[in-house]
Amino acid sequence: MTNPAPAAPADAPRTQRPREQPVIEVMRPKTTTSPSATPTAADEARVAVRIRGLNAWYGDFQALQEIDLDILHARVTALIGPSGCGKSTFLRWLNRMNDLVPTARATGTVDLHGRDLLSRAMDVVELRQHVGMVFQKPNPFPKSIYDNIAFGPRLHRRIPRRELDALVERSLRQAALWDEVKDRLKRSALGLSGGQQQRLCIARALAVEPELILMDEPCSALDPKSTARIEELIRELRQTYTIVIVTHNMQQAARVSDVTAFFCEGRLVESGLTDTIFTQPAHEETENYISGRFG
Amino acid sequence: MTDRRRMIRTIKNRGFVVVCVAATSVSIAALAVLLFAVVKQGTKHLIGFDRAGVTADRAPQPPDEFTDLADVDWPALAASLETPALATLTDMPWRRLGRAQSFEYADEIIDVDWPAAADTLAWPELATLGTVDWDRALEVMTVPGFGRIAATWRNSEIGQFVTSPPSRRPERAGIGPSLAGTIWICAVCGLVALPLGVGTAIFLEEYRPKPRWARAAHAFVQLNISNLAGVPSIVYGIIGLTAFVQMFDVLGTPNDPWFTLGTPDAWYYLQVPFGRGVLAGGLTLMLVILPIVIVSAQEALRAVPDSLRQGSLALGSTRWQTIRRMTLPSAIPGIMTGSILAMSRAIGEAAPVLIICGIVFIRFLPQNVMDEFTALPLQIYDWAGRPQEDFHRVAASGILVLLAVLLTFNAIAIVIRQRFQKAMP
Repeated sequence: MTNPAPAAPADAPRTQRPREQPVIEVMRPKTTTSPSATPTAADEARVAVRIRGLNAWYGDFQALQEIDLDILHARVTALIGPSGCGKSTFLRWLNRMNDLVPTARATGTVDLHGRDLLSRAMDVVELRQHVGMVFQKPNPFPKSIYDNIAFGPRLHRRIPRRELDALVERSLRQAALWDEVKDRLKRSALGLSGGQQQRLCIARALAVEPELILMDEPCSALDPKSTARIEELIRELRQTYTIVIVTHNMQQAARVSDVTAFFCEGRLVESGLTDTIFTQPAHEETENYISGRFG
Repeated sequence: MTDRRRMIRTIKNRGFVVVCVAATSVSIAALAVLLFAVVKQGTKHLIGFDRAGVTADRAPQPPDEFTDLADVDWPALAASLETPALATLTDMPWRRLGRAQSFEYADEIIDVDWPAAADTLAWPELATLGTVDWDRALEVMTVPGFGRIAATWRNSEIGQFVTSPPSRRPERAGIGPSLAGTIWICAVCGLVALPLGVGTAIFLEEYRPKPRWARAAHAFVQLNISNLAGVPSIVYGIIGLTAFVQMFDVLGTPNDPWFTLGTPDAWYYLQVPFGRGVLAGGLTLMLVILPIVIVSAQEALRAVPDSLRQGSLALGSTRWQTIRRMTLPSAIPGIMTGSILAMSRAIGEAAPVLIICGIVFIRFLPQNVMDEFTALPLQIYDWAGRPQEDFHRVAASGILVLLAVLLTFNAIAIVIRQRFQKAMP
């Protein structure tokens, strides 16, 4: 790629890390090193989350090393890589779910609208209203379908019944589930099929109107047909939401994502336009991984 | 060789099943024998006990309590028995007489040494009462103030047993005060143990600290609570005696309390230290079952899948919102089952209550949480230890009532579990 490396947005206050710059150059090829080396299609997209120098540990084990990545607004970013490479850890730092792990800690900056998500002052509860999450295994609450969707909005304020009804319908429509469940909103969500449950979880995340949706292998527990529906849904949601998706399925990453980031052993090996990554990977490790020679 | 090994394997496999079936059968048989024995003994007292002469005519029941004697219409009785001397008993200081220990129960009026009582109370007319036909009088005497329903219930054999106070005579003995005492202390115990235990369980399970020292403290507390569940219950009795009854003697004595609220006959009467009352008994039982409640509630909370907690937290709920709206509702069936089973243990606990209240003879129902009380297991223990065989049957009847109470509790537990599980169609 011929893109010049230091094309950082002019207004970005890059106060930190003059010292660490060389380290990254050693670690990765220049073309993919710079977070701003994002592909042309994404050039006009603004950056939703800017991650700089993210290190993460579980106890003494370092799970992430010096991650620099820009997550683009209204785009789907796929995180790929072999198991244990830290992509889920990365994802779970974006909404601080790792706070639940007693030994987990992280350094660096994760910048969302000029606020550092990792800072102590960050209100995690408020953060999670802006950054929704969909888990690997569908985890509908043991409540009715309606109450599942209404759970999030109800947490934050008292909502009149009519408004809530509208919100539930809108969320279910967005998640392409409305037609299937509109007659049984009061029935238990546990009675839905796996694919429906996962779409319910997506609808539930949408109901709090987040800016960013994190998906941790959302299709790994689903059959191909349900997977196809979820992928279709992700493509639709891309228009309004910023989505980060962790996946083990290379085809899925190729199908749904605009940007792909390849993780290996806690490092971000390469990131760029999905087409580029899959056709002309700049790094040998990436090529080996996506061609199935390892991982 | 392989055939032999296969045979051995088969024998082991089959043998295992046989042992399991045998063990189950033995325990079922033991349970059946136990039930049979208790029912056989107990029903003798409850149903078909020969009470000729006492309950030949059900209608007018003799008064059970000597204080009831104050309410008897003595002049009418005098007329019906053609014994004018009885009319003088209207002015008898019955309560004072009771306190003077001339006699303890109404039916002992037969055995009162009337000339001696006349001397003690300086009331010469009493001496003539020695000639009264008291057996007949007891049958005719009626105690005013009972409604018809109450009378019917009291006059049925089971009703009579359950409501009437203990007596020197086995055929009259009932478990009213001890049943009431058990209900009182279990109410106190449950009201305190449930919030305390569930709160502790939530804290231990849901608020796991991050710093290393706090995690160590957390593990230490956890270990101790698990150990407490195995401490013999009589130990808790001693704790209850020093901590609740006497309050380490730093706040006066039970008879000379440091703090009182109301008078001893008010329903809200409270004193500190508590003395040997319902409150001390209930709190002691609370100590006994608290570790059980905590451990079972912890297990119920642990059984709630983490994915639900994470799902709730990921929607931007606080930890408390997650507990209140997600974890606790999911764990309620387990918590309730565990707590009610712990309560049934509290009902059957004799040792700690024995230390708090002792074997006391109580003919009154508790009126407030400071009142003296006795409990079912203690009453049964008392009866079973008496030499008369009739009392052993009474004890067996008491056991039947205790079992009925326990079964009721377990039934409630099952209903609650079913209801909460069915809450979701």
